[in-house]
Parts: sequence; structure tokens; C-alpha cells
Amino acid sequence: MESSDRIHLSDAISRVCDLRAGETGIVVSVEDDAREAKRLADLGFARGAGVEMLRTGKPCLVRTGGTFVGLGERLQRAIRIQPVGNES
Amino acid sequence: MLVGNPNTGKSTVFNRLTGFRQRVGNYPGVTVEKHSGMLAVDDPAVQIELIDLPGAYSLAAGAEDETIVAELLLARQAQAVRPDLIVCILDASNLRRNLFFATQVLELGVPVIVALNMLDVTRRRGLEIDIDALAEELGTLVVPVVATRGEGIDKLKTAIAESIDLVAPTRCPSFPDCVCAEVDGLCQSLGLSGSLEQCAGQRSEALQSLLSPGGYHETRLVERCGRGLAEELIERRGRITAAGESLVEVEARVRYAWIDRVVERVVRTNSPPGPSKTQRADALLTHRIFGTAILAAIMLFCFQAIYTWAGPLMDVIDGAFVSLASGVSALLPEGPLQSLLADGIIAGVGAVLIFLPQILVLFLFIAILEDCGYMARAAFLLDRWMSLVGLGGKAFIPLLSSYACAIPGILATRTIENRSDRFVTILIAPLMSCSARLPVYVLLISAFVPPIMLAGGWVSLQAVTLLGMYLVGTLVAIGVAFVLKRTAFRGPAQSFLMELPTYRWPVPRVVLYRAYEQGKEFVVTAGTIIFAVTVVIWALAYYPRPQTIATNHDAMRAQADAEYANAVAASAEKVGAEGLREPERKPEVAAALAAIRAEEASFESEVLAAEIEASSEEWAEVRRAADAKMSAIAEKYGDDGMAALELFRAETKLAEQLTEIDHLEEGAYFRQSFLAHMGRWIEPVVRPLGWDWRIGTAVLASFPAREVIIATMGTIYNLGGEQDETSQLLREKLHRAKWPSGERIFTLPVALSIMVFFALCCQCGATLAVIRRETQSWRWPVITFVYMTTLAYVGALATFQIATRLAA
Repeated sequence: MESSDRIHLSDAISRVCDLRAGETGIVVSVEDDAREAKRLADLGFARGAGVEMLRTGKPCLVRTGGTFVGLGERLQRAIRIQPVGNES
Repeated sequence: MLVGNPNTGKSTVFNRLTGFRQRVGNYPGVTVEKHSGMLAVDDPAVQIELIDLPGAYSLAAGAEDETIVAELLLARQAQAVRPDLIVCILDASNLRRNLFFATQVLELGVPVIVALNMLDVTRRRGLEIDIDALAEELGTLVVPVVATRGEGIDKLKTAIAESIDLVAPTRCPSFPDCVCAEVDGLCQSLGLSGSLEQCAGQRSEALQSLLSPGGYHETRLVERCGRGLAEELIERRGRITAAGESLVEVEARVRYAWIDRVVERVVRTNSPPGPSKTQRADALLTHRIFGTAILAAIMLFCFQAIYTWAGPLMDVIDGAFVSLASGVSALLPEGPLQSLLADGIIAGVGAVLIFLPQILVLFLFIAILEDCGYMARAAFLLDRWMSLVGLGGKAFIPLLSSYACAIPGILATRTIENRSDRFVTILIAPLMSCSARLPVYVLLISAFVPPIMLAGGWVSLQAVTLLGMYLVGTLVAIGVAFVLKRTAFRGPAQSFLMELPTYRWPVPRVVLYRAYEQGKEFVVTAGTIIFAVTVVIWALAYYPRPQTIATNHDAMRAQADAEYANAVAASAEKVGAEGLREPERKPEVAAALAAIRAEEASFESEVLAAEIEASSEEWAEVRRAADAKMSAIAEKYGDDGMAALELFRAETKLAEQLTEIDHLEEGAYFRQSFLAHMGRWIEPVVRPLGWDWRIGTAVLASFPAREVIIATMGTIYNLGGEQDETSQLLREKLHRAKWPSGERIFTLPVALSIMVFFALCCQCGATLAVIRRETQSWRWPVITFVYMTTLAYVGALATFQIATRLAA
């Protein structure tokens, strides 16, 4: 039921930490005040990049492009995304 | 220079290029290892030095490793030091992310060769890479390699050897005008002139300082050019943001847009990418429950292996050093030089080297786990738990290693990027109960903790006490970390950010080489300091040498000799003096003597086997049986036999007496030594811990290396320095030691207080030396030493006082 809400591109901006396992989002922005913001961006978490949540938690495991990255709690919140429905 | 993202097989390529001939040093001021070596080619005319830089994701230098790369590629260019050639290694299976760093490197105005690694993985994933197209897009030479199998390495060598005067590539992404204008402006105020190519490095540095407020490049630039620059940077950043650009994202956006175009042209996908092997493995290995269980199993296996595999080797080393020491003692005349070499240097260096097998096995496991990519998963799984203490997941492995030995643990903290996390980890690592503490625990627990079985016979009180000692160290470490993270190392907790690299099979040669390298480092660092400190402690324990002691003991020796002569004379009455004296000794006497000696030898080996378990009554029983047998043998030879037996007994007694006198003399000298004087001097300080001056002295002597306490105790109690923790005699002596008032010194509270002191104290010069080297300052080893000694004193004091009250 909940997943049907997410089939279409949602306008609501959410964060990586709101993704559930298996869900994907598109990066909108990285919060500037996060100290590691530039590091995240350089790793590929830049506007337009897809982020797939593989395992939720603190830290969580996400994939962007061919890179698998573990993200701590604060960084999950620092990346704003637009959720897209499960593509399968 | 070799550069590239982490986990691209850079070290493997480096090792292949240099044929494993390399030098390891440290970069000045920081603790990142610097590997350099000559390019291994057959042509002796080609002399090319290669430097392997740490892995980096970006020149923005967010982590300590990356600052080295930035330093060498950018900042040094201001002093006109630039590399002749950069070899940039790309992981072909993750080309997009790897190209980000590559585009930064392409802009440096230095010739670049791209080595495209891991093409085998890429092909298995159904990806095809058009090498020529990539070369064209990047404007560089692109050499495909499979470093793990050595494919393409020769081509890469030729390319490096021939291309020293390649021109720098010029094709790179262009930034929006508002950013370029500020970079130009900044370069102008830095006073840069010359062609674009000449100052390309400085332009990159200017760009990075603009884009990372408060980052490494800004700090460096302001250091060089003064405070005014900081204000200018703020102003210029303001203009970039005003133009609608995000400082954080603009570089990523520009570069990834350019990269995406390149990747689209260069990479062809042949088959739809299913979940990779890594992803399938991670489904299990990063699982919160199963993954953690597997991790625990792996750790358990490692530690089991450290103790079981290293055990036999440690015995070999121990034996080698003991025989070396006795060999030296035999060769050299008695005196200071002999004692310094045998008791000081050889024993001291041996005390360090004995841990080498354990450390090598530990390093081997760490190298394997790191090389195959599992270490990042371990950090990922453990971050939750470690963050409870205020440390990151990466602190776990160094701390765990410290249970074997703090030195490899401290060396392993190099993987922690966060400086404050790293320092806290270094400071608490020596609190983990290392294997050098174990002998002390074993001796005192087996001597003073009653072997009562608890919980219906499942565990013994002794085992619980041992576990308790490990817990004391661990709990205190947690407390110290907690306090440090809230005082000296306060600051927002670093959020976990770590790439989980693709799993791969470790390359045996690389893994072995790394273990060897770190083992060597341990020997050099630990060996040097132990060597120095041992000499000092040896001198304190050896001098002064009052002549009276020698005279007294020589008199005792003379008396023993006289007794022996009397005994021989007495037995000579039976067979005549000629019958005993060699070479005219009667054949019958000689035969009886040989038979008795053979009996004694077989008895010795029997005792040796039973010694550890046997109680003193059982031991006496065996002794009596052996004596009876010898008498029986002697009787068979009649008078000749009896004479031989008496001769044998006199010989044995003499040998025993002489050994005892040696030990007495050794002990007497020791009690006269400067060290013992110091021990008596500190007695008032250690009295509240329940210790007498003898314990105080032994503890003092064990500050450079804690494991020497047992040998020192042996000397103090006239047993000679060669006692170990399983020694029955030492246990009994400890039991019998008394205060002048007649009360026993060693009671359970005293034993506990000593053990707690050892659990908490930093009695390891080598560890302090390693801390000094890793933190590049004397401050941290001093702090470590002071805080641990204080904790140890307070802990031992509390233990003794509480235990005494409880016992009463």
C-alpha cells in the first residue's frame, strides 16, 4: 500500500535515511553544512545521481553508480533525494 | 608517481613495476607510509624512481591519506617541485567514479599515463571498454593491465620508460564562468604568471581552496600567503554562491557531466548487469546478525591461530635466545661485558623478538582481510557498537589487535582518517590486555587464587580471575575513550563514510610482503628502544659490585669444594684412591657410574614431563623411587658400585650447591644494586598497594618491558633469572616471602593488586616509542605513560584496600 505511493516520481523531497531497502532515489542536493559534503559530492553523490538503498541502518549501505558506500546517520540525513518507485 | 582511487590495485601494480624492491619511509610530518622504488627494467640506463601514493578519491583532501596526495601533487608545485610523470590507475569496473579523480589529475599540467586495471572483472560483468576511445577522450596513453596476474605490466613499464617527455594532457572539463573568473582572480592575487600549463598545479590548488571552506588547501594557502587571503577567499566564495552555484556540488556536477559523456562513448554493456558476486556476498556478510556472527567467527579463528600457530615458533625463538645467551656466557670471561651481553642485550632483544611470530601471524591476517576487501565490511558492521564509545568502526581492528600486542594495534590505526578518533584509539590501545601480561597473570593466579570450581564445576575461579583481568583493561579503556571524546578530543562525531570495495582474491605475494614489511618495522622500532632501555635497566640492576659479596660467596664455594673433596676421600677408602681418580679409574667403578648416570638421565626427563602438573609431594615420591633404583644398580657392583654412587651423589651435591651459591650471589648483588635501592626508596609509595620493596623493585625493573618481572622475581628470590611462569619453585618462594613482622607478603589481595597494576600500566617502552613515532610528538607517549601509570596506581590501591577489607 505504501509502496504504491512511491511508484511515480514524488515531488516531496526526502533524505537517504527515508529510503527503505531496495528503494532508489535521485540526489537533489547535499547539505552544505555537512563537513563531509564535498567528499560525498566527489564520491558521486551529486545532483542527478541515483542512490539505491541496499541495507538500512546506522550506518546504511547504499549504491550509487558502481560504488557501494556505507553512510553514517548524519550523512544519510545530509543527502536530499527525490524518491523514485521501485523500478522492477 | 602512482596515483589512483583506493582499492584499484595500486599497490599491486606498484609491486609489479618495481619487482618488490622498494623502500618504505614516512612522509615528513605525517604518518602515512611512503613507498618508493626503482622501475624494474632490464636496461640499466633507465633509472626511474616510482613513488606509490596513498589511494585518494579527490584532490580536495578530506582524509589524511588524501592530504599527502594533495601535498605532493599540488602544494609542492608552488616550490616548483613537480613529478615528471603521473601514472593514474583506474579500476575499469567502476570507471565513472575513478574518472573523477583522473580528471583532477589531468589538469595538473604534468604528463599522465592511465593504467586501466581490473579489465578481467569488467569483462566478467559484461562490460566492454573501448581503450582507444578512452585514450582519445583523456588525451593520454591508456595501458590496459590485469595487475593481479601481471598482464600488461611490461607494456606499462615500456610506456613509463619511454614517455618521460610526454606532454601534459589538455582535455578536461570546463567550469562555469563564475568559478573560472574567481580562480583566475585568486591566481592573480597569488602573483602567478606564466603559461596555463606551468601554473596548472597552482590553479588546481586555488580551485580546491575556493570550493572547500576550512579545508586542507585553504589552511595551506593561508599559511603560505597570510591572513588576508582568508578574507579574499570568503569574498570570492560569496560571488560564486551569488551566481547561483553551490560550492559543494559544482565540481562534482561539472566533472561527472563530462565523465558521463566519456563513459557513454567508451563503455559498452553487453549483458544486463545482474547483482554482482560482491553484492550477493554482501547480502550475507553485511547482515546485521549473520554478518556479525561471521565476523565474530573470523576474529575467533584469527586469535586461535595467533596463539596456536605462533606457539611453536615462539618456543624456537625462546630456545635460540637462551642458548645464544649461554653460549655467550660460556665464551666470554665472567664480568660486566658478559653480563651486559647475555643478561642485558640478548635477553632484552629476545624478549621483544619472542612476540614476532604472533605479530607476523596477526599482520598476515590483517593484510589478507584488508586485501580481499573484508575489512571495510567489518568496520561497517562494528560502527554501531564502536559509536557507543564515541569511536568509529575503523577503531575496532586496531583495538582487537592490541589484545595480542599494542604495537601492531597502534600501527593499524593508520587506517582511521579522523585524527581525533585515531589519537584516542592510540591512547587506549595499550590498555588492551596484551599477551605479555599473560605470564604475570598465570604466575600469580596459579599461585594465589584457589582452584575452586564455580557454577557447578563449569568454570574455575582461576579462569574467572583471568577473564576479570582482561575485563579490567577493556572496561577502563572504554571509560578512558568516553572521557577523552568528551574532553580533549571533543567535536562532532565523524559520521561513517566508507566505500565497500569489490571483493577480490588476495594476491599471496602482496599479502606476504606486507606482513613481512610490517614485521620488519616492528623489529626495528621495538628492537631499538628495548635495546636502549634494557642496557639502562641492566646497568641499574648490575652495579655497584661490592667486593665483599664476591668474597663471601667465594668462601661458600670453597667450602662446597672442600665438602666434595671429603666425600670423595671417604668413598675412596672402599676402592683405593687410584680406583676413583681418572684416568686410572677402575673399569668397574666407571661402568657403575655410567649406569647410575643413565638412570638419573631417564629420571630427569620423567620429572621434566611431570613437573608442571606434579605437586611437591608427588615430586618427592618420584625422587625417592629413582634413588632406590640407583641404590639397586650400585649394589650389583658391590663396593665398586657403592663408591661410584657416593661419588655420583657428591658430584650432584656439589653442582646443586654451586648453582645455589650462584643464585644467592646473584640475589645478593641485586639487593645491593641501584635498582634495589630505588625499590627500597619507593617502598613507602607502594606500601598502600600491599607491596614490599622487592615487589616494588621488580615492578620498577619491568617498566621497559613488563614480561621481565618474572625473571626479576626469580633473581630477587635467589632462584636465578631463568624462572618462568610455570615454575613451582618460584610459586613456593612467593608463598614463603614474609614481612619483617613475620606476616606473609603475598596474599590474595596483594596478588590481585599486582595484577591490576599490570593490567593498567604502560610497562612497555616499545609501545611508547611507537606512539611517539605515530603521533610525531613526545607529548602523546608522555601523556599515555602518565595517565596509565596513575590509573594503575589508583586501580591497584583500590583493589588492595577493598580486597583486604573483604578478606577481613
